[in-house]
Amino acid sequence: MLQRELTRDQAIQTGEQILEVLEGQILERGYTYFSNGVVFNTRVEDEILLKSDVQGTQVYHVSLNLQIVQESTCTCPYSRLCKHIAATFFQMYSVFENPRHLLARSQQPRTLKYSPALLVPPFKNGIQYLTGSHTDSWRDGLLDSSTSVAEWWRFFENWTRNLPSAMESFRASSELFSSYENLLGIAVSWPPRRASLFAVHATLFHLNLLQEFVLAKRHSHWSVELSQSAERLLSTLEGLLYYWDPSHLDEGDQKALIETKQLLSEWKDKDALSVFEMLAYQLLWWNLLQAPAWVQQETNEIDQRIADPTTTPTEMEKYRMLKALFLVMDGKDQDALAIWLTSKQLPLAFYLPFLKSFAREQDWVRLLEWTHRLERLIGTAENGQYRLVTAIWREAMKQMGREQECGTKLRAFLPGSFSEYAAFLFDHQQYREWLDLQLSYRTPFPELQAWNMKAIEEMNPTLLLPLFLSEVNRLIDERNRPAYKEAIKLLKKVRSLYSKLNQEMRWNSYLELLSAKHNRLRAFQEELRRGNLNV
Amino acid sequence: MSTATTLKLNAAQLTDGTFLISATDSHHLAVAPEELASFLFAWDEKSFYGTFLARNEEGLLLSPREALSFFIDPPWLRHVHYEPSETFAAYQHTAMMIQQSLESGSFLPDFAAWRAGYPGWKFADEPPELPDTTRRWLSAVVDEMIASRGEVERAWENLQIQYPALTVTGEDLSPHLQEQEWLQSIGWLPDLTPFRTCLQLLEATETEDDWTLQFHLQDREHPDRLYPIEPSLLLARQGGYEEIPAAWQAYADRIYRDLTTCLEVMPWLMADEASGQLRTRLDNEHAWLFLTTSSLQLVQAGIHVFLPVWWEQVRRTKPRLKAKIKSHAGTSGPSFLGISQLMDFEWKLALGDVEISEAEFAQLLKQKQRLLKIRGHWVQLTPDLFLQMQDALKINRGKNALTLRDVMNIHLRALPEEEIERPTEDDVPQQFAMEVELNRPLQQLFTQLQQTQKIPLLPQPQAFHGTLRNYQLAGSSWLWFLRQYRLGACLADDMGLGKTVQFITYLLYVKDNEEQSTPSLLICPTSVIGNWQKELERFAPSLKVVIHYGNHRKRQEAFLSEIEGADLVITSYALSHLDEQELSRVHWNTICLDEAQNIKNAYTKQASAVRDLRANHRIALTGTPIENRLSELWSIFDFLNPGYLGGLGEFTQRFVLPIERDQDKTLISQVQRLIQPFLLRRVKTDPSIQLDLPEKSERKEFVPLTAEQGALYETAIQDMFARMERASTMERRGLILTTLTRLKQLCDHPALILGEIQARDEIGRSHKLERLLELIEDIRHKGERCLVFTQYIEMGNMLRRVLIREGYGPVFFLNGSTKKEMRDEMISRFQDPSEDVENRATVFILSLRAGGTGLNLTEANHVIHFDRWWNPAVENQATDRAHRIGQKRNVQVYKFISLGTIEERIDEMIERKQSLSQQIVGGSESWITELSNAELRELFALRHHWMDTRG
Repeated sequence: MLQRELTRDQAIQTGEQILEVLEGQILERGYTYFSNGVVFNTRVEDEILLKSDVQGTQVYHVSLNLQIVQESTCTCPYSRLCKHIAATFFQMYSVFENPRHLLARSQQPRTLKYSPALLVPPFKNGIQYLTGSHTDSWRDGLLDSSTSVAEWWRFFENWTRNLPSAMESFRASSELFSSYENLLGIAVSWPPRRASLFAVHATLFHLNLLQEFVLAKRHSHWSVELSQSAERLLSTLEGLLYYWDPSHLDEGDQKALIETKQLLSEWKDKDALSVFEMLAYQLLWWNLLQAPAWVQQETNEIDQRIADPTTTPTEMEKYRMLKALFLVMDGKDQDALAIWLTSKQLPLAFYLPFLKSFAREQDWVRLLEWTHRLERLIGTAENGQYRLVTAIWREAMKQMGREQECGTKLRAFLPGSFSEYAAFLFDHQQYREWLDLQLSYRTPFPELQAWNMKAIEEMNPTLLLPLFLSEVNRLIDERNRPAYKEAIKLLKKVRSLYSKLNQEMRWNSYLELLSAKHNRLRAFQEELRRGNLNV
Repeated sequence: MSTATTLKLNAAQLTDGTFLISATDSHHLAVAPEELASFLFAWDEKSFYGTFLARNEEGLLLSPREALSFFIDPPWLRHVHYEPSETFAAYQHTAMMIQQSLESGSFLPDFAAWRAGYPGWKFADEPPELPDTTRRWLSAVVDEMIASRGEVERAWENLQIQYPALTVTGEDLSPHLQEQEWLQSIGWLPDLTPFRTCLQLLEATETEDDWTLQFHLQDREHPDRLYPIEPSLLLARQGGYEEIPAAWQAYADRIYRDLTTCLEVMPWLMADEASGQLRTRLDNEHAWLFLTTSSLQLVQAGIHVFLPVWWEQVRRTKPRLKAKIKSHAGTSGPSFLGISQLMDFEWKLALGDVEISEAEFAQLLKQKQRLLKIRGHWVQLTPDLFLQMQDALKINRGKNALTLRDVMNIHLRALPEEEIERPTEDDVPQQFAMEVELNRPLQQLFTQLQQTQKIPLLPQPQAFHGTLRNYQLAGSSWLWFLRQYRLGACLADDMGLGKTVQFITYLLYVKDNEEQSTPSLLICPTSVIGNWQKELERFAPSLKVVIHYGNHRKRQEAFLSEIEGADLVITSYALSHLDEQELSRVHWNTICLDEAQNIKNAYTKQASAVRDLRANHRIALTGTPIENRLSELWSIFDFLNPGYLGGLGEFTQRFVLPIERDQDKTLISQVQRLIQPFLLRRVKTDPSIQLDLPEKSERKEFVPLTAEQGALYETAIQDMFARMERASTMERRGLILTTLTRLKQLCDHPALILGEIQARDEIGRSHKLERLLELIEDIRHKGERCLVFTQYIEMGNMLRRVLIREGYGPVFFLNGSTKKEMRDEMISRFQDPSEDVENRATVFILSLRAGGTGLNLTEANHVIHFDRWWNPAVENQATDRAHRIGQKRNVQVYKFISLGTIEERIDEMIERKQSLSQQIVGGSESWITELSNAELRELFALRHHWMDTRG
């Protein structure tokens, strides 16, 4: 069917777009969906829309735009191009080409293409998208939308009585999210703004619960699983705040907002405030509670505590960190960054909301100041974050008319930028730098591309010597015959390099020294002879 | 990709002046030296990018000079972050300082260092509290520059010649010397005195015991202007300035100081303490002292010395002891000669051009003079020389004749001419060289012996059927020539060059040119008796040959009548001992040993029986290069020319042990020179041979073990090591040798050690066997033939069985127990192209020992070595059964090697260039038993890498 309706060229062209705009992880998950055979009812409509149904948590309807992939849609909660779209794509692509090859290419280092969509939180607006599969309505009416925030919290406490013990006995994150999503179901039919606030508090509550769970049951140790849960809660919070509409708030909303402010204001005095909670605190002040009077009051309170001689050093540190947020809001970025960068090893994720926010506001100057200060963090961040931040950074450079500086600036983002930077150096024929980079990062010799070396050999063969010789050393150090054989092959290459450089004498003395250095390695000597490399 | 891109660098200067550079990565882990080298020297072309830097377990070791350039301009990677430690940074700072002073030349010789005994340097303007290590670093860098840069080294040597004071260090430096003076004496600071103080030794003219020592001041500007001075007056500061330019009188202190120095060096110069009178006339004793030691000390102290021109010549002359052969020896024709022939001679002592007879020398000994003028030549006689000479005479006194053996020994052991002429260094004790002066006939004989091409070439004998090649005629003529002088000869031509026909031709010369006398005797391995018989019939049917072999051989009196009138008697090595009684009753015309390496072990009864046989002339034939196997060589030469190389004990002491220990080149070449006159060895590749032998190419067949073999191999080794723990030394040796055999057999086929009489699935259990069948299939397909060599009888039997079963029959198997008749029949059937296919074998299996030598199997052009032997010469000999005269096709050799096993190890050892001592042990396996357990493990252990996974 598809074979007749579409062409190979179309498939390939769509594939190239997919590679540019989809993240590797999503593609991978999409491929798993596709290979599990959960894509069906695939059909082409209007010549360029590939439609399908995908069985996920529930059945989602996908419409893949073959011409402009970014305009594809899916009915799932994920706001960006999702795994269901990817699965649909693979269903079509596999008719014409081997999807594994494409998948392999997606796992190669590649740059992410900037689009404003990158700045949008990954979840769609509306509480119903956050409730997972818990769409049944038995919880309706358990809590009235007119209740106060304090009542919500009491309800939460009650609701999660058994949660900590369940988290301990079963998979903690599954239990936590099951409880969380269930809870959100309660507000499904509330007025949207109140429901959003309810969801904000549910998120805060669960973050707090998570922190207590870690303190009490895990001796303050954040396992990867638990950190990921916290991050997921934070990303939901980010989405909720992104879609928050501050206009036309009714009285109830206002009241809830005031209560939210009070609650949060008390948070800063909590004994053990986790990084995640701190981030939540910041997100809320930054996006929800930015009324100048409120901000002023909170700043004053923090300043008082900082000035208070009875404040302990640990507390002091916490208050200074919190204070930094208000410095940013006050435009004193450098002071804030000075505090954050020196006082604690905060991950790049901590700064991401700010960076995204600057990009959304197209405040490129500010963004570049930040990326400059965060160079080291960006370079060592995990791949996804690195690609996101550099995509934004590249856009900023472009907007500022400094696009041509990008290549050389990449050096600051090592090691994250390794492959991009290497590609840049190579394309600009900065071969010595390129080799220096490979040597510095000890790129395994077999991973270096033959065409790279060939180009360098044509331009400046001398540069290859350190690389080849150090590989010869490494092979000999392996102390086995196959490695010796490899070394001999490489030595022949070295010989031809030297002769190309008219340095036969140098080659002779090298070989002589090498043979003498390893005169006890019989098998190696034998291979030397076999390769006619006798001294 | 490694993220270790931050390196914390540390450096430490070791006591010997080198620098240890080490580093830790961002996880505070030490970086391995190999890796460190490529991190720190990635762009350093000079060290081949760090490949050849010295290192220890902790890090890299840099010489002072390497360290200097490393600290100043490290060839670092740009994408690695280096964090130097404080010490490291301090060294960087110091390095800059050293570099600056080197560049600006602001450093100078350090008197304190010279005084402490070594040349050292210091900075021109040193900061206060400069650590000693910094100064030492500078010195070391300068030293290294001198040593490693040709032009600097030459400049430094020139300086030392110009300013000998530079070479004086430590206690040799005068304690009175001040730094300023010293710097002047080494030419660092200009010496502003307009003159130099000089001493001149003048040769006695009238008498032979009266020398004059003259003091001068020499004008620096015009060196030819010399002003004689009166030292006694000047020393006493009582004038004496009359003769010298007035302007120089201002330097009276300097003159005084120089004269004091002279007195310090030569206290005996003071003739009379009271009057302060200095000696100006010297006797021979003092003159000798002045010439040999004082002059040098004076020069080093900055005083110039003029010596007689002939002194240098005298100093370098090396005394020799000469035995002059009286002119009549050797003139009465060659016939009576032999190695024990006595010669008359007289002793002479040669010093340069002067020769002194024994009587004259005895006279000189009495005088105990050191410096003598003999027949117009000055001669130096040192006390050492006296002693040596006395010793030498003591040994030879009473001996008024030398044997030809002694003469040859002295003559050949002496160093070649050019080496004698070379001056020896002063501090090397003079070696006492002995030499003989030959008379004319001996001179000629020796020339001919040393240059075989000067031996007259005889024509091919009438009775010889066939055509001899030129080199073969030369060989026979050489044997005949040595026979004239009754000197034993060893013909050691390469396999296949026709030693047999050369000996046959020699026999014909003897028959043609000499009166009929007793027969000659040929002793050879049993396996080649038939071959000899055939060749003799073919080439010299006129010779009457008796084969003394087999159960029906004649004994006692019957033996004597049997050989009556025969030209040649052939027997085996085994019988040479068993029938010693019969054989020793005859004084043989010639005794010839074929494959003479059979008597290599001098202590065997066989060898001593053979040596005891009497003969007019002795000949040894061997195809192995014996000149490098010393004890084998002794054994053969003691047979050929008894006593020529001395007793075995003496020979071992003098040559074998030192050569094995030190690889002493001089000794090796001495041995070579000693044996060379009696050894003729041509190899196939000699251009003069002009053989048109087809080519031989070798190929190694590496095959893996099967899983079964692998398991058995492991078990055998473990078993050995387990049992070795409780074994005595002798048991240990036995155990090792047994295991070695087991392992080698195992590599051939597991059934060999499992004692299976009728093994199942023989082919599948050994890849060697599989491979062999494949090869033979190919060979048969081409209609060609092959030889298969194995060390193990059982293997040979199995091969034969399998090959016949697989349809490759008939298959011959020749081994030690094969009867002579059978051998001859097999060989002739294999060699005869007219035989029909059913009778003629494609495959000829031979046991390495029985079939390795003497046979002629040129119908085969493939040779397969089913297992390896330690000594490649043995294998090559075996190969040469096929690759010899008569072979028309190219010969392909296959050597089977089981991967990962002892066989591969053997192969590696063979492949390695073998040093002499290895060749000496190369013939047997006994050395293995002396290895340590660790070495054994290394040698035996199975390298799993090669295990076959199919089985």
